[in-house]
Amino acid sequence: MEQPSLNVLVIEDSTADFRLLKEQLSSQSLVDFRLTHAKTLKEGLALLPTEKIDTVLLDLDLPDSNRVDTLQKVRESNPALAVIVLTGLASEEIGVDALVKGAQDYLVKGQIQPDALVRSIRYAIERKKSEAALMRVRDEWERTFNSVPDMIAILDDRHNIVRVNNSMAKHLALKPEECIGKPCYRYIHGLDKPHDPCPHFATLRDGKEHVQEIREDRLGMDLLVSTTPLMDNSGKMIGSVHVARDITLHKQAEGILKRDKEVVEDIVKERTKELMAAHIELDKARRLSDIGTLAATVAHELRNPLAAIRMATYNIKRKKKDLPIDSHLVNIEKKVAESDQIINNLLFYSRLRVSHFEEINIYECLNECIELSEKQYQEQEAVVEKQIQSIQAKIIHADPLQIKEVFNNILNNAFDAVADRKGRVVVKAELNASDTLRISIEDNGIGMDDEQRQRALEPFFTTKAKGTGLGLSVCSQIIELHNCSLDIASKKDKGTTVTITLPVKQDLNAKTNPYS
Amino acid sequence: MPKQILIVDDDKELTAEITEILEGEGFDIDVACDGLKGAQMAKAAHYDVIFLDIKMPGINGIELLREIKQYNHTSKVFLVSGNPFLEKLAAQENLTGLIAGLISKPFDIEDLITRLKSA
Repeated sequence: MEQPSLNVLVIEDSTADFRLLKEQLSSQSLVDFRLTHAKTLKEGLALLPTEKIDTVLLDLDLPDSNRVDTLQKVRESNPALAVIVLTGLASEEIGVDALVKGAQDYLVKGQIQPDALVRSIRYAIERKKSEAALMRVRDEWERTFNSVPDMIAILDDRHNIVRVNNSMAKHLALKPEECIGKPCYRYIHGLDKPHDPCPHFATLRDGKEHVQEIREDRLGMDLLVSTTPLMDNSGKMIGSVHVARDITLHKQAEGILKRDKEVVEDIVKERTKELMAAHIELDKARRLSDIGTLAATVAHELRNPLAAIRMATYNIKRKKKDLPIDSHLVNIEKKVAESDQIINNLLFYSRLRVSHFEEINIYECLNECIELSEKQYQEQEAVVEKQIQSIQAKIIHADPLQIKEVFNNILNNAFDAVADRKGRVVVKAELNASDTLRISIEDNGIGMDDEQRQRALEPFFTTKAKGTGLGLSVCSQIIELHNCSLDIASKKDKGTTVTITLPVKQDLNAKTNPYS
Repeated sequence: MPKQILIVDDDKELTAEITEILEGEGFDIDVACDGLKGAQMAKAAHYDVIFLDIKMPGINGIELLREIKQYNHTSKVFLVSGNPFLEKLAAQENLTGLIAGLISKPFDIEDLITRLKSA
């Protein structure tokens, strides 16, 4: 087996000492030591880069260097080199000091034994190798620690910072070493005591990992913080590794997404509502159009016989002046009129969609309707009081057919309500300041309770023994088409007041024909 | 000389009653029970007033009105119907220049007589 060889540079101003060393090393046979001699530091340093040197035996007292600088200069020249310092007999403490400053061993001149010398050299080389490996590992770890974009702090069990990586230091606007020993709550959160809940605190308490989202306004960041317990060799917890990940963008995106989702949900809800309303409206329209077709047919077909009945009655009355029969004929005439009104309501209710506004004399229109009702209900002997002088000659925009329909229905209701009692119907009309007309029809009849009053405008709702329940529905539709309001006040057994507020002016631009 | 009136309506009971009423008021009444007969009669003789029911089998009242008005410009023609939207219908069909008036069924008899007397 070939003998291993080691190149040793001896930097020693004493030739005698060098020879001694050389003799001692050559006297053993395990390693082939190849010695190079440099008498000055300068000479030694010059050889270091060129020769392959495994270790340096270094005398600190050289002619061209003082004791303090010698070791440092050699180490700077080649940090990977194992260095054994040679000291004089009286200065052992110098050797110990050299160890502190990076030498691998020291030997006291005059006490050097050959086997101890060999051992010292070999140990020094091995120690240097381990040191280098350790350094490599440490550097590697630090580089890794510092290149992580997450903010990492190692905290002790009293919330003090033991160490931070570059990312954390950067965000705290400090140098990494400036953070050491500072309370984390003050430097990270700007607080006087640990904030609550603090994941580090939680980890200290239960020895488990904790993860928590924290909004840190000081840094303007949303952080995902995890704290992992840090143990010493005996398994005792000494702190935690506090890793804070910047999730600000993520949170913002999440916020936007959440808002968007809410907006979309709102839109969907809104649209669903609209759709449902449209669906109901459509359904109603379809039903109404069915009713409309039916009503139109019924009207056409019924009005011919009604006309014949009315005229036949007229002819009987003319031919036979007989009072007892006459009262029956009056009843027939009255019922013909009622039937006609029912047909009217059915038609209006089912076909009303728009109004055709024109200039009408509202006073005449109202007066005409009152007279018609009075005539129709003449045997009832109700007192009719008119307080409508203030709107005499007033011209307003309205659909004459429709507005008469409203008056007729409300007046007929009033007369029906007072049928069985000493009735009084008061019609009032006045001009309001806001260019509207207020017309009220008041009776002292049977009135309605709250439920009846609330349902009064519903189609097909009626309190009359015979009635379609369409009269007020028609009125309310017409009122709506005229952009006006209809108000019903009523008290059971006391009477009812219906008040209509009509705008004087309407948009006269013709709308599509609703009757086609 | 009493006013000559032609009533064109397919409701026989109705025409019988109206004829009696109007004859009682001193008018001369002829009746046609459908549009076709009405057209023939309106062509054969001159009437001061013609009542045309709109809804009739065969030729309806509006068609008949247009036909009559092609050769007869002096008769006063009233359109009669149970349709409560008669005015709208007349406006829609551009009939206002052709007719003397509209009469809704069931007739207001007194109003009818008044209008006929002044026609």
